[in-house]
Amino acid sequence: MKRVTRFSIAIVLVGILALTASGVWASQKFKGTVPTLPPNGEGKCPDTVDMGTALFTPQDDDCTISVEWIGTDTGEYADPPNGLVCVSDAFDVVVEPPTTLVKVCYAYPPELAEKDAKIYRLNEEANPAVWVEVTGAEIKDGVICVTTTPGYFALIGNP
Amino acid sequence: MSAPLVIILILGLCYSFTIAPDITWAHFSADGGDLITATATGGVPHPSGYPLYLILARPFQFIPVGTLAFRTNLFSAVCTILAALVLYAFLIHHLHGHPRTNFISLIAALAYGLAPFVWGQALVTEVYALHGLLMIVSVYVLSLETPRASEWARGFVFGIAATNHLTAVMIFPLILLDFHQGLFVSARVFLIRCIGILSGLSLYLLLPVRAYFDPPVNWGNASTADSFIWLISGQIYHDYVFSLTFADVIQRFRAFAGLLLEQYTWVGVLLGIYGLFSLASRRMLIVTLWLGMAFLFYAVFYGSKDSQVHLLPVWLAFAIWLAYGLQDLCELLHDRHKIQLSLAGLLFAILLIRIPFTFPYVDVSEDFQARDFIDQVLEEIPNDSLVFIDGDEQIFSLWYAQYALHRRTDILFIARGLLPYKWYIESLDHTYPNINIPERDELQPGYLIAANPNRVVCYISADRPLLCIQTASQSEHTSKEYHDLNLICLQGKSLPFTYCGRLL
Repeated sequence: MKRVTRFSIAIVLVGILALTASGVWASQKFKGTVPTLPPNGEGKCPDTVDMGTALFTPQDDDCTISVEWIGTDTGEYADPPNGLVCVSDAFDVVVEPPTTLVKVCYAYPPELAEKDAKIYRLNEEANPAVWVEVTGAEIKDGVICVTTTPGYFALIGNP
Repeated sequence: MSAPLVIILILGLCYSFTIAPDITWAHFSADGGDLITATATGGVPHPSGYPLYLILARPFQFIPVGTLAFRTNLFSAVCTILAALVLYAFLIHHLHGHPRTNFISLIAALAYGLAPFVWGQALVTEVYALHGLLMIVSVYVLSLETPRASEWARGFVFGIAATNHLTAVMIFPLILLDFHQGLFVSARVFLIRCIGILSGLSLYLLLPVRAYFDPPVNWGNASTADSFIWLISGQIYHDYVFSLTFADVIQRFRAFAGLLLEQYTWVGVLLGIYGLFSLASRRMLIVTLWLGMAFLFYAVFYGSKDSQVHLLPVWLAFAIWLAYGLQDLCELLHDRHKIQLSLAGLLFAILLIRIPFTFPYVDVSEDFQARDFIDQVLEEIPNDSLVFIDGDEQIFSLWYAQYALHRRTDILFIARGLLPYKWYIESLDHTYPNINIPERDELQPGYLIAANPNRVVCYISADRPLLCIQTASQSEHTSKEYHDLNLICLQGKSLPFTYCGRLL
């Protein structure tokens, strides 16, 4: 290959590199040296599934439960009611049989109490789906709890 | 002044003014605390265990100057200077007989040592400075004209390189190459080289010996065959490979383009690409292309957040191409000595002029973030606390503080992400004789907290402030928040279970 050709190729490649160069090395946030715990939990009833920010306890002795952490942005499923925001983690809770009631307890420090945060469940039957507050919440010892049927749960309050 | 002396002087000065004085998280060195601690305490760091690093870095920890972390950082600086010197010798050997060989080799060696990424790795505790040195030594030894008796030694160097970083196995196929007669070696020579590789790899047997003494950092507890294989094969990270989406891969190739221009400037990149196409030796082309491409693809497809550290051998291959590009230009100007000298002088000047611009980008001589974190955490945490930690930086820094420096030995540090591993539970049992570990198939923080009542429970993470709450009576506990550290502590007398709530 002649020098001129080699040099021309080099100039073209440098041009392509310069034009396509980007400063961001795509990375997966949680892949470091120490593994992180999976964001999912499962168990046999009546064991409690501890997801860190919330506990899920089936109200039956003969069932299975699986809980998936779905993030902190509930907008993917439905926007929170007007002016409110998701203030903690959201979870997808599946219990077999699905008629089994589940006690859902969220950590409820004073900061979240000040935001008047409440547990919401996604009404998937509505079109479009909407977050609906689960009534009858019991707030005690820094924890807010409701007992209801399985589904998507989020803690929603004032910004 | 001789060229090697110039390399030592320039790189030595640059590194000594910018090296980290203590433990640091800069330049992708979050694992530094793990490596320093394992080296100092006879331990075994994260997979694949890095036995060669443990042996070679240890003598530096005895140098009576600065902190333990600083002394270990020094080892990286020395490795990088040695890598530049070996690169210089390699180029002198292969460019011998060409005009301005000495100057060309000097410029390429300095370009490598002053490339921002390489410079950064010379200032912190990580295995990559040594990795770069071993890569150039392997290629050099492979290409040396020595008697047949040294074929074992060629293989041995390849094997020993893989005992520092497992990715060195990617260059093993190069032992098929014959640099002097046919393109490939005979079956007999290949066999001898393979025996050499196995001899080098046998250094991994050091890890079970170290594990036997139950050091505080004892990844995998490699005392059985299964756990040994788990450790040295890096099994815990296997799912990181090919875990990226197509869009991520494209993004990484684009980022690589940016990083390449950042390392060598457009002048250097132009010369390097020109040099690649100017390589007359087929063997040299195969070796450097293999080195560059294997590590480029590995870095791009490996799903860890810091996988660009694997590009270091790519920068090495590029420095070699840069030298060949320069050599070809000098040959073109063979009868124009003044222009040759001007060109070489200009490139040398560019290298020197770049230094003050690279300096602030790589300088970690005033980086005390990790040390301040350690000081603040150890000052704030109440006595005898049970502390759960998430995040490489946080975990390894506190291991360094407690296991290597013996500070606040009353605290029980628990790496939450390691709780599912049996070897880690065994390690906790040996390290903290006072801890009560419940017998459970799957140990969760709540079980540990319940089994160790009357201890303050704390949680440290990197991402966002976190609050610990317990469901026992409020009167039984008090909590204290340390928002600037993302640290929340909660005092409990009887804790049926505890769980943590993140504050957004």
